[in-house]
Amino acid sequence: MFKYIKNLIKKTRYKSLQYSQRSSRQPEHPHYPVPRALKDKTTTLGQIIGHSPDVIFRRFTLGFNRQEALAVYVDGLVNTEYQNESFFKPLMALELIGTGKASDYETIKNSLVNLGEINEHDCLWAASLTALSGDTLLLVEGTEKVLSVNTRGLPERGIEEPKRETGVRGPHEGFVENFRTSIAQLRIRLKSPDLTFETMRGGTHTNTDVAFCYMKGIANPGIVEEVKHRLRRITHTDNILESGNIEELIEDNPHSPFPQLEITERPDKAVSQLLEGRVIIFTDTTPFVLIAPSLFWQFIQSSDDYYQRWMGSFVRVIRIIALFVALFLPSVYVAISSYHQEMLPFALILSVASVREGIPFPVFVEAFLMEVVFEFLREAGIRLPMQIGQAVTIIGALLIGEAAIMANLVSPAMLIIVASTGIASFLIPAFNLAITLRLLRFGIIIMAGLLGLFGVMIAFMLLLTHLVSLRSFGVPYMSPLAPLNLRDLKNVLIRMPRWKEDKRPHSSRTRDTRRQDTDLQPGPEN
Amino acid sequence: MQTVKISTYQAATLLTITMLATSILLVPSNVASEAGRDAWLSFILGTLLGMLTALLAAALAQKHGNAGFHAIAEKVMGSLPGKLLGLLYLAFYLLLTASLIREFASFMATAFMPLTPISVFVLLFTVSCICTAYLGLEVIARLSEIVLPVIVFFLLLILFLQSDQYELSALLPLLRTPPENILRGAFVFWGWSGQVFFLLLLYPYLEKPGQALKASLIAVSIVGFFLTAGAFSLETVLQYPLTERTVFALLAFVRLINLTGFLLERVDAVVIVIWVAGAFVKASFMLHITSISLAQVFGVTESRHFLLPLAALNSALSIFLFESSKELETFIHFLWPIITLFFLVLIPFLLYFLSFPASKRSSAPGNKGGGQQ
Repeated sequence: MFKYIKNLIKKTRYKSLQYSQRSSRQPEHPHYPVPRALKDKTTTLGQIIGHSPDVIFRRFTLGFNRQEALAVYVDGLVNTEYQNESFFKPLMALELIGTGKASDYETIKNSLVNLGEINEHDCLWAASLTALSGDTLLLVEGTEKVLSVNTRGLPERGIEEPKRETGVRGPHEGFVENFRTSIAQLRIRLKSPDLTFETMRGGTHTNTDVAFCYMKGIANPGIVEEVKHRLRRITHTDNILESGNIEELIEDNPHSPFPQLEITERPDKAVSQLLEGRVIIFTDTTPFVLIAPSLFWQFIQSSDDYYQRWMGSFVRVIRIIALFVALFLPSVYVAISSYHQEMLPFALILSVASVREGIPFPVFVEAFLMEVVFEFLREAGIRLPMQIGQAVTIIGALLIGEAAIMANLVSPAMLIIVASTGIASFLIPAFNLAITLRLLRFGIIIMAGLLGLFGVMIAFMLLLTHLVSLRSFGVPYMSPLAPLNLRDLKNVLIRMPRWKEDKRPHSSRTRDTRRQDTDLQPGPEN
Repeated sequence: MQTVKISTYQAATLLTITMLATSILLVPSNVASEAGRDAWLSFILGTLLGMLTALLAAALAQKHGNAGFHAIAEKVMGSLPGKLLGLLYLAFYLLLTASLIREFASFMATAFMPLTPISVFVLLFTVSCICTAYLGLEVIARLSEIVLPVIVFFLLLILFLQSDQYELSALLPLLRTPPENILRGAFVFWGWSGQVFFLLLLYPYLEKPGQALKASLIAVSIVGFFLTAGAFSLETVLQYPLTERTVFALLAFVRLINLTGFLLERVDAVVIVIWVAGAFVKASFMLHITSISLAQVFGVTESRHFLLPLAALNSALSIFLFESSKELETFIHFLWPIITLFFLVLIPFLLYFLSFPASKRSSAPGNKGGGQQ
């Protein structure tokens, strides 16, 4: 046993050593220097990109010096109208008078292409990557540079209401897959020069754009540095298809069932998190952004709480109760009805016993079966198209539930318990935390079935131990409850009125701690 | 490696749980069998004695630059005798942890699940506790921070729920018990309130060592308050002969609560919550202390390696040391206060006095050096 643990420690040490060695050098990609002759350029680029049907090599003659030139772009990724108007038209049609001393290449770069974003490359590999993101490459005779012009017009869906995070009040606008649009949505809400972006590419093959942003004057530089450091890991993997891929590579405890990074689709939520000193990570091709660091309580808060008046506190208390119900109700029922019957009132125990009469299984099996069936139903409801999904849920709930009671397989009491547990778990706003609770519930039911309330209590203590040992980017996961911070705590269990929240949360150790003036309490002014 | 630091508040909650966790259930009946109706007076005296222990511990640590107990012992007595004393203390920690685990298990077995063998509780509990101890002092401190308010809330709740049954006349006549019996009761409680001594082991990890004494005094007063209030209510509700005759007086007290027509018939579950949560934190803390003390005595840097063997040793000891729960009860009542007095008071006191000439001796070489020049 000891040796095993020792080996384990050795192995992890070795692993981290390997990782640090690997991460010390930049991700390697081949370097293709740009040849001078246009013909050679064309062949080399052809070798790199290949001749797929969507990659277009367009030969044309430059208008002002009658020389050959080559434009390379990917069909479908560029805005054709835009490209014609500002790229091909000036290059092909214009004739310049007196080009001066500048070379042809310089002339093109400085005066002909009338588009905003132009980049120079001296490596054909790097240039081809930009073409694959929607740029148009311009190759001309007699220079060792390639020009890439931003003509992106990516296929995009319109801005819609976020599907996972609907609210009663607040903007009906969610992030979209194109991260440039998402960033613009963020900018609209946060017109501050303090907002700082840093970009990188993740995935050696997908070359996904990843950007993280923070408020320079607010966010703790240590946390920002930590995020940056961990994000280097994503350049060593094959693909980044969703922010979930990044999440798994940068979280603190990869074995924990608890989510350590919050995800959101709402720009308004992202802004409020930025102002609390957190870092937002955007991933191209997905509307979900990551928030780091995230604390446990963030997962049971919704941005809606802050748009209602202070009555949002009530909803918060309800959610905390729901959290406990979703985790412990079935197991406490199993424990009490199979080990500690004396705790129930006499009338209740009689009714429970009478409805359980004739049921062939112990309560534990009954609870376990019903929970499994419930999980089946829920999963079916989510995966199927909306209309069929509803039908399945109705069939499942009405027919199976009714029939199971008629056939004396489960007691109505158990059905009530399982249904309330299910409803309670729907109250948790964060989907990733809800999955965790569903999984843990089964573990606790087993403990309850084996050892009664003692088992439930031991499971609870172990869960608590695990929760307080977690950290998210160095911030204790359960703060401000443990380590205790009374000032922050009043904003966790309840929600303080807006005019009372004059400090940023202590847990994110912000540079600028003051959120607003302290004398904002409204009232009739005399 | 990150240095472990805990705040003053965390130290206070940790010490409170260490003293409160097991005493609230076990001690009232023992003290009542000594002091009878006037048990509450014993608890007040015991609290004062606990405060004295805290003062002694703080004085000893401050004299030696906020060092931990084992470092102090080696500094005052010299390396080898200090290490031998450390070994003696390790035996004491083992005894404490083993009896704690046994108390826990035998309570669960006798009060709630009589058909389950005691070893099931012992093993599951110990394994869970080493998981916590493995994660280190910071995690245990944070755990105590969450658990203590829960325990305090439930204790206040059960005291409140019984408030209609209080019969103050049961306390009369006051001070009927002979003073030596009251003192003996206080002495029994000192076995728990004296555990504030563990402050000495926390010293190297405190963020603000200057506030340690304050934290420990607050901890002792919280524990003193609850046990005195507990004794008061037990006497007024259960009344004289019953308190001393039931082993788990608090459980008997809670079983009298009847909420029928409101919610539940019995609220015994509350006792399980208090008992498991408190004992869990205390046992994790004790296992952690034992492992770091072992590491210090033997000069090992990684103390976690000791946890698994310690857990095995503790579970075995907790089953083999006591034949029955009656034996355990006798041990707690008669032997434990004497052992506590020896380890938690006499030896620290001795070290405190020994450290006067030690400080003179340490200044002596400096003078000598000056003379040679």
